[in-house]
Amino acid sequence: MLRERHRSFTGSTTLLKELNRSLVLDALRQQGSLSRAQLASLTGLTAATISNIVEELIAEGYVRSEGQGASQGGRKPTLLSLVPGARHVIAVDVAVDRVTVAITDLLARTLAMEVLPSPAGKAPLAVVDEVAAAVENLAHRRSCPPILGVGVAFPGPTDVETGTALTAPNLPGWDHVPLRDLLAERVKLPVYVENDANAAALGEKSYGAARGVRHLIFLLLDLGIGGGFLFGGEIYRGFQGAAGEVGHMIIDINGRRCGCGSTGCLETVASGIALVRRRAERLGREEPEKLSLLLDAARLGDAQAVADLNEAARYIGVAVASLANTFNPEMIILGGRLAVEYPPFFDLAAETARPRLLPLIQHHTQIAMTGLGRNACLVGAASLVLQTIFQPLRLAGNAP
Amino acid sequence: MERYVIGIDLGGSKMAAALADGQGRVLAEERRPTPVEAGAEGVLSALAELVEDLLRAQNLTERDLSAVGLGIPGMIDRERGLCLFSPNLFWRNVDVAGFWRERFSCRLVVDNDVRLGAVAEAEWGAGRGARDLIFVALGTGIGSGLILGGEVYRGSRGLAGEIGHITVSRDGPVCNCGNHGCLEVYAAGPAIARRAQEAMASEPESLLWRLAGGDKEKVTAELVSLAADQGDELAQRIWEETGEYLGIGLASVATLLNPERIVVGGGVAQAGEKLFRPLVRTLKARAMTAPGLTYPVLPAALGSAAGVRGAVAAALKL
Repeated sequence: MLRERHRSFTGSTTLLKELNRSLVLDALRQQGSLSRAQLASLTGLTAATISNIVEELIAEGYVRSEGQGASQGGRKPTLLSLVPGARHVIAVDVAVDRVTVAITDLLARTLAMEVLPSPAGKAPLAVVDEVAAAVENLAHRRSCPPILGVGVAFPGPTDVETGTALTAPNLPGWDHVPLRDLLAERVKLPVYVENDANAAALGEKSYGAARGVRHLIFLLLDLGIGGGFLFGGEIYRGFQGAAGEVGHMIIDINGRRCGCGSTGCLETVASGIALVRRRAERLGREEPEKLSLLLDAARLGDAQAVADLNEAARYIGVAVASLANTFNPEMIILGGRLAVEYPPFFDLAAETARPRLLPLIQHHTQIAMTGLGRNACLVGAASLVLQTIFQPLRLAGNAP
Repeated sequence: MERYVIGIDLGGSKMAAALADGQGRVLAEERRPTPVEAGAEGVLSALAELVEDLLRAQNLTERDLSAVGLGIPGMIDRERGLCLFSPNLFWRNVDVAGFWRERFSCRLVVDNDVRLGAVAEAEWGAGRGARDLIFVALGTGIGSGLILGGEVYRGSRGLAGEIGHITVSRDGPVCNCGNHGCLEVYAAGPAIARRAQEAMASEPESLLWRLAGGDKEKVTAELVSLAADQGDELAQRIWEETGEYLGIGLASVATLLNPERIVVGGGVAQAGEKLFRPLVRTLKARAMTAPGLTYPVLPAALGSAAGVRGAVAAALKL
């Protein structure tokens, strides 16, 4: 549990050791293979410390020696590398129309996954039970190494300290659900809960298009529209944990009514939900079709579907420009099915945004496609667990 | 030995400086016109003179100073002490720190004036105690200082906070920046004057005609405020709409940042209740609602002194 980790940090020598271990693991994760000397110079740790840590990590199976590197004069150094399968991680992506549960290795690569039906209309407890069953299945299907924990990406604001889902604009019934505790009780593993777009931003930083980027905005363009703000390398959550609600920026002074109570929100014109609803209205259907069908139609050249998606992309472009002008991030990443599964979407959004950027902002803002395809939230969920061994500083900082 | 700091707020028309002690208590102040027409060199020389005069009047020398803070209306490279661009001063890539080093040996910190205003309101004004704070400056333009987690948030190049160019309506009127529908086109001082002028054409009875001596072009935001206070319906309507536009723009910012408090200052905010009432009402109606979410809006407490006080705070933090 999170709480136990905190307790283990209370002794400062334990904390220091834990941090040094993570420095070594993270260097190996990022660089592939390294010699002990390279590890020492990269981490700033002494040769003796490196030696101790490496010995420990080899004993625990995290690290293995892997042949010999080029000699710098003298004996050829032994190269060390991370063993990606040494531990596994469970990633859960709760989306409005499906729940994905996956098992990944230490590099956040998916090894197996189960897709569960839509959580909409179900009681949160029922959904938690289904997720727990899927976790059991995945964990026991293979002769599995130890599982470090479960990361959950949730489509709404969350309280990460308590692991509570605060609310979900597009998933009624999920107000103040203690998701972490409910799931941890069932799976007997540490559970970490985070807003889906925030998780995706973390995933992009460690495994995707934003490696080394300190100021990042991730836009999750799917049924709903989410935003993850990474400011100075850390998720920015705001006073009550509700920051980043990009879908509820106002883009039209006199717009349509939005589910959030406002009018003219970006979600009313550029979200997957708005698009499928409008299409159903136009075709005189009661029930909106699935987003995947709309995306298929657009790819096959259905003129109306193309026009609707293109208009949505242009609205997203306007929002991207507002975000860049206001927050001056290094990079804005577009992810989610609208961006990933309808190829013209990204280009249209970027083309709309570019000329709207203020002159000095223009040269310094990258608008990028997700580096994680349709798995951005899933990889993000995995990274919630993985960061506890690769970058535990954040946890240590939260310790009481 | 007691060490002092000086804070300077360099504006397009006036420059103000304050000498403060190590606790930030202001001991002496001085205000002079900015000789913009003399160019960057001329303005910076005038600034140096202002500093020297301020010291001399207190029987102090540069050696008694620990640092100087300088706020400039424009885009600043804080690390290098450069003013990248200031439309009000007509500056582009001015090496402020370089000029300073030729004249003085004490340290100088250069920052954007609104960011410094935010620091001052957070330290001594309406933002005291808030960790996540948006300070909005309404004037010729609309800028902001974002204090996130107790620190000024600057973004990757120090340019974060330009909320005047957030789009509130994609197909709205054209802004100076070339975009359509920026918040600034609706609610900055010149926009308020422009909207009043447009409305005057069909309302010959408006008090604004008399206050402007029959010349529409003489109408300013200040005059629209005066007319509204004297009961002019057109002017009151303009403020009502201005508050609504700002409420919409700030609803977006509030929804994005979930701040603890929003502090609104700058010359245009002097309009007071007639601006704040519609602003707060609209913000409440248009920001995302969720159980427990609140966005308190307060008028700035330091008025026109915020810039100087922020510069003092920045110098103290050096």
